[in-house]
Amino acid sequence: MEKYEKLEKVGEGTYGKVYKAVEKSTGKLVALKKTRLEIDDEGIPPTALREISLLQMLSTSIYVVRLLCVEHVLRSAENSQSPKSNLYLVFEYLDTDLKKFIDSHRKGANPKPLDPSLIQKLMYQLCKGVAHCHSHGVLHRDLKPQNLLLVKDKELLKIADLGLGRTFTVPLKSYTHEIVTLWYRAPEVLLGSTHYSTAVDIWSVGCIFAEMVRRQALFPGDSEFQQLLHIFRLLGTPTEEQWPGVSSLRDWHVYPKWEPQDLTRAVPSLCPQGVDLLMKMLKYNPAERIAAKTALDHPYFDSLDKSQF
Amino acid sequence: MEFHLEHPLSHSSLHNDDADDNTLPLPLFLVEFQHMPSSHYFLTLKSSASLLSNRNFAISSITQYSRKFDDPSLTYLAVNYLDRFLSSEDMPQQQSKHWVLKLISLSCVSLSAKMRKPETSVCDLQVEGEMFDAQTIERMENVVLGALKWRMRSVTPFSFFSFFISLFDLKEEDPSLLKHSLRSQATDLTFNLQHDIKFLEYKPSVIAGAALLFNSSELCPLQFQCFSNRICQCTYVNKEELMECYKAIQERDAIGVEENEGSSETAVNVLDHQFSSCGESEKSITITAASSPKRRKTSTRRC
Repeated sequence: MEKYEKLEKVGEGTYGKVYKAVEKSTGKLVALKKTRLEIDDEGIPPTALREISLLQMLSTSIYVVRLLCVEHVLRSAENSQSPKSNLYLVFEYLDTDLKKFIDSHRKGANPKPLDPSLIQKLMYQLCKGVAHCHSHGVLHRDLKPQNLLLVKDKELLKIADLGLGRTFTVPLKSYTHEIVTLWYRAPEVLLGSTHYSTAVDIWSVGCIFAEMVRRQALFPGDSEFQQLLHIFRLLGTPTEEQWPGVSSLRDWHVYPKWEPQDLTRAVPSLCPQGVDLLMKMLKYNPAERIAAKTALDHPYFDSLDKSQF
Repeated sequence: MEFHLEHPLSHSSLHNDDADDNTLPLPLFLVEFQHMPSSHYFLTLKSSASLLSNRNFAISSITQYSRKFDDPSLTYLAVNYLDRFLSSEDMPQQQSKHWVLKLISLSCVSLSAKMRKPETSVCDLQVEGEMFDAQTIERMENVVLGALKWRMRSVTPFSFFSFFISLFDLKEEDPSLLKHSLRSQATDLTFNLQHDIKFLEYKPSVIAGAALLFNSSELCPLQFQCFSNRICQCTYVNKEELMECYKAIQERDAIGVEENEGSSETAVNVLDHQFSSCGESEKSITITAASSPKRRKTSTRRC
């Protein structure tokens, strides 16, 4: 790790500390993610091995934050009693994320809406990245504006913090015991479905889409129950006709029967094609929710010059 | 969620149920070169007897260490790691001590086992009479991981079988049976080709296509031409390389497998002349063109 000089701690990601660092030989900025690995006499744990090699493959897409290299720092020989070793994932460094970007348009000196054509561009890249992950059988499971990094001047968006599974399962509480946000969580996950699929990410994409338009979260719940109520109040309480099997999900209860509201009212500045795409992303029945790959062909993106992507 | 050679990119069974086999596996074609030994490796092995003996010794160690798993895919993956490691900068290009090669082999098997059979213990791998301590193996694993850039989901010929087979438009009554035979014969052939250094220079997709073609020429000769055209039409397959590899498989088969194994000789020299006897002959003709400075490209064409 002597190749890098840590500059500052930039966050505590879901899986461990993240540092901004500089690669000494090139002066290039990188993000170092430090993860402790429990090492017994078996060397690198199989789950870590399989997941990191997958991350390595996924980062071939320009819409996924590039994993530059992996440094596995073994316990030192003098301290061989220690059962831990550190794994550093070295990622390209991007200086901002979508959350900060939206915040800067809401608060600050000069609040103004995001430019509709920028929203369209960012959404297209987001769908591209998600489609890439899904085509490799990988769910992100924790898409949120904080996990979408931006290269501001180039209007580029990259997905970060891919949660892959067992080594780095998405916990209810993050490293710092800060509650993991529920705002982007799909209703089937909130209702305790165990067999969820790519549709969970599409739900999150829908919520992020709306948030870019509104500059505030679409469903800002502070508990799983409140989160469901937020969703039901806008989209109506789901019925068996709409979503077969919903009432047999583990955490289903009897809820007040809300009627669906007009989604346009939640995103008044969004064009009709955009509202149509949003509706398809927020379908209750996961099987009916639009796939990321299909979304790329949605008329909402017709006016976009796709050759640049 | 163990690693399958057929689906190197797939993390879960998410897409395997409704896998659309006939869509072009573009990501595989784009990254396959990252999972091959570097290009100078084949030439070095051809010219250096000591490096060839390193490789042969290491492969026999891998075979020994992985025997108890009775899993040819695990062994195949370990040899893939080995070739990539031996061709990396981390490896001195000279004759290595046997214990070093054993340690490298053991680490490759251990890493492969972790990908394939996560419940395996490293301690189970060792053969009686030799003991590397756990820390030594761990350090060697780490060196191998670094040299391979943690790209452990190797894209191999097996990854391309489904796609190529889906291109075969079989008119049999029971195409699934024939497809099954094709796949299983091509699988066996691919396992065997791995030891033959002649095939180290071909991309995994090329080996997959050539192996399937070779088996189709035996199983369903009438459809060979059609298969061959279909595979060659695929944008990401280099037609010349494919036919060259196919030819090499044919020659290997003609010479006899035993004689050929471990041989560093290529049989390309018999094709040195450029001749064209197109016409009444039903046989394939071979044209050679010295298109590459390091090696000759040959292609076979049927008239």
